[in-house]
Amino acid sequence: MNIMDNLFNVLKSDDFNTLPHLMKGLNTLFEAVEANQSGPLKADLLDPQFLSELESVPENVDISFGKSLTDIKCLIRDENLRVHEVYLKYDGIKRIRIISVNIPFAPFLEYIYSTVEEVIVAYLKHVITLQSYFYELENIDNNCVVVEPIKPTFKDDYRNIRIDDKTWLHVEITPDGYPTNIHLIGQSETWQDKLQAGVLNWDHDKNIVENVMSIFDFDKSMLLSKGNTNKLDHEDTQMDDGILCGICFCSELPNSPGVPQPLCQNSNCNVYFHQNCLFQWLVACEGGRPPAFGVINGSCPTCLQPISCSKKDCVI
Amino acid sequence: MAAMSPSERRLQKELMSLMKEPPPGVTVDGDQASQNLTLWTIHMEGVPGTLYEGEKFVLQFKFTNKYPFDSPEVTFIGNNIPVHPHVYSNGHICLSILTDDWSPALSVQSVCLSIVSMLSSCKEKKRPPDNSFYVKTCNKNPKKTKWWYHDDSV
Repeated sequence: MNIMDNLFNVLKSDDFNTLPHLMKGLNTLFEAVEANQSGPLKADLLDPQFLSELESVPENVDISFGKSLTDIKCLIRDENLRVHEVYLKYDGIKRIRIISVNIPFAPFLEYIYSTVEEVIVAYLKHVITLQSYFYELENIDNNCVVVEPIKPTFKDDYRNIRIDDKTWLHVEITPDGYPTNIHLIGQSETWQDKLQAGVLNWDHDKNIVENVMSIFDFDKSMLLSKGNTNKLDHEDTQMDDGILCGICFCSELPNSPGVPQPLCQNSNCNVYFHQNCLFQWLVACEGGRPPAFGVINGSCPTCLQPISCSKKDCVI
Repeated sequence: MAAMSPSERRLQKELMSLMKEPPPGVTVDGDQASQNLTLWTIHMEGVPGTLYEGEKFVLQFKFTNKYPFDSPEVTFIGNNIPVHPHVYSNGHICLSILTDDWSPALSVQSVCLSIVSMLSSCKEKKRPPDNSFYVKTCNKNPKKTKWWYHDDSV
């Protein structure tokens, strides 16, 4: 009997005349179908050599399968016990590709490897060079309030650190663990002055968090203070947690990354906007003409004070 | 269900908060609006102590898929169009935030409040001076009218 016949039997049968019974019936049916499908896969699709390879990986590697037996997820522990996710695809005998990794700098993605072990060796060799990168990111995540990315990982090579309710510090980290493109988002002049003076005196023997603390005269507790950033913890915000954008009224945009930022520099205007939403509005105010140099000026939709927005990361 | 567009997401949120905590004298027809998010009917009562005390009005909001970057089209509909120097007898409203001064930070709620306050501050019930000419010649969509906001006092 094929699946459709089975399905009709379940739908027609009097045994399943209530919703819970019906759900149970459907569930049993689907389980049976699934068990049927995954049965023969193992024997047919994979070559035995590859399977034995997977069984003999070193003990710092855990292997699991994804959607099919040719999608493989490796959890690799490096010498500092950091765990890295590496996704592989088995394309055929001695043809293994890396599909994705959880680090942003991966020069080896296009290669084709003949064994899983080769992948692990190449990955670990590369990861050794990134140790300062991992260290700086971990240190920021542990000692600062990171407002963006919402769930920071090693794949994100930047952090937006909360300085106060209206000011974030943007830092990008190079593969060597050096900070770059440091700037404030929603800057007040005081912080801006401190940052400008501080960047000139950057102490490369100290880590990024220590430098940030000395630039802004912060101690550890101040960097970890969340202030009002979490003020939306109450129950009214079931649909969206976190800061809402003053234009789309949501915290997350479906098609583009980014959280609402304190972009208005009027200290009395406590409204946050997605860079994307604000940019779109300011362009619309200019009759739809995008700005010549990527930065557009206009007035804040909420307080009407001058505001500017850059095109970086915006998708329109 | 297909993913909601940003404009639908925002309208959905506005509708929920307007139904949950409506401003005094304002009620939204939630059933109709949730069936068609781009067309809302809002009932409005004249504020006690003003010239419109005891009167009931109906407002219609139309949204495009560019909302909130594009302002909503707002008109009075039904039998009772308020007699007011900024409201034409066909229901069109001369209010700057509905066209030139629209901002995406405004919402259905803030537009309703502006209209309530526009009505409440009225000192003499009369139609705009150019009412009969305007009503004969205007476009059906009030947003096509090039408004001349002459008077800030009412």
